[in-house]
Amino acid sequence: MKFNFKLKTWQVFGVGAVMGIGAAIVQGYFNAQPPEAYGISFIGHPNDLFSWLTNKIAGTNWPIRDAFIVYPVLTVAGVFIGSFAAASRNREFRLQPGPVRKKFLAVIFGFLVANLGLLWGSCPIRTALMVGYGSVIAIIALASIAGGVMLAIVYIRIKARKGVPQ
Amino acid sequence: MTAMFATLVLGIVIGYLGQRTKFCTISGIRDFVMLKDSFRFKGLIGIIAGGLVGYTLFHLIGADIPNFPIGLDITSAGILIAGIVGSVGMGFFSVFAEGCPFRQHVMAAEGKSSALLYLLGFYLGIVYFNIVTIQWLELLLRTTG
Repeated sequence: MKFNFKLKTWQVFGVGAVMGIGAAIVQGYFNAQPPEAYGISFIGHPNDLFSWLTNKIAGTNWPIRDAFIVYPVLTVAGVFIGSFAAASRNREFRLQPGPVRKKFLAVIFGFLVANLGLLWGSCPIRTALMVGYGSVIAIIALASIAGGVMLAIVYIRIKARKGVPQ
Repeated sequence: MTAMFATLVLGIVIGYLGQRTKFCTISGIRDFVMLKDSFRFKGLIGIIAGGLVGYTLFHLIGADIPNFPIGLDITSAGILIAGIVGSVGMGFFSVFAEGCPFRQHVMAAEGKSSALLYLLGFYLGIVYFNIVTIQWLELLLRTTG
């Protein structure tokens, strides 16, 4: 049991390391830049893909990062394929409610995270990649993300103390 | 075109691994702060370590890793304000959404309806940002130099 736990712990670290090294390979050898440290971003890449499609279909002129102006970025499509394959292979794919109970709130949270994330320009993964790239503003942003998480925890604890359901 | 296929392949790999390990950066920070559980937090450490090693190594062997290390890249007060406000807000609301944007994409591919609804709001948010919020951001950057 103990061995398994340690193995799993290192697996999570390993996935993070694969992301870091993979992002470096994609940037260094496959021209996924500028900007720097842009191999993975779950704020920037969905925005670039969606803007690329909207520009092509609706003729808009929404900004796209330089690396993906001509051909679209497909990280999002890849993640859907990869995680669907993993879930199907392990019989974990099925329609189920998910962690957020109120459907309306799930939509609102997605809306807010997209806008706030685009305001900073990066998701937590790319922020961590930028920390690895030596960016000072990314260190501040990562600390700010942690600050936001702590504020949410304080809010949840106050709500729980008052006995108000979430 | 190579970047397009490279991101597709990298996406498939991290999507597969992310689903198997329930990888999530926000839950990692939350569990570490709230429960002193470092299990998922190690993923975030792994990204920083992997990125640092990868960028350093490929920079040394001559791959295209420009401006490494970036260092002090705070070019204006507006960027710093937008960065802090955006990051704090993203961290705050991601806790209530039960996961970072990457985790939400993985959960949607697992068939979780709340993640699918989150992504509906997420992509509507991208539309709103490109029409409305971006103008506020440009105004902030203009006024702060």
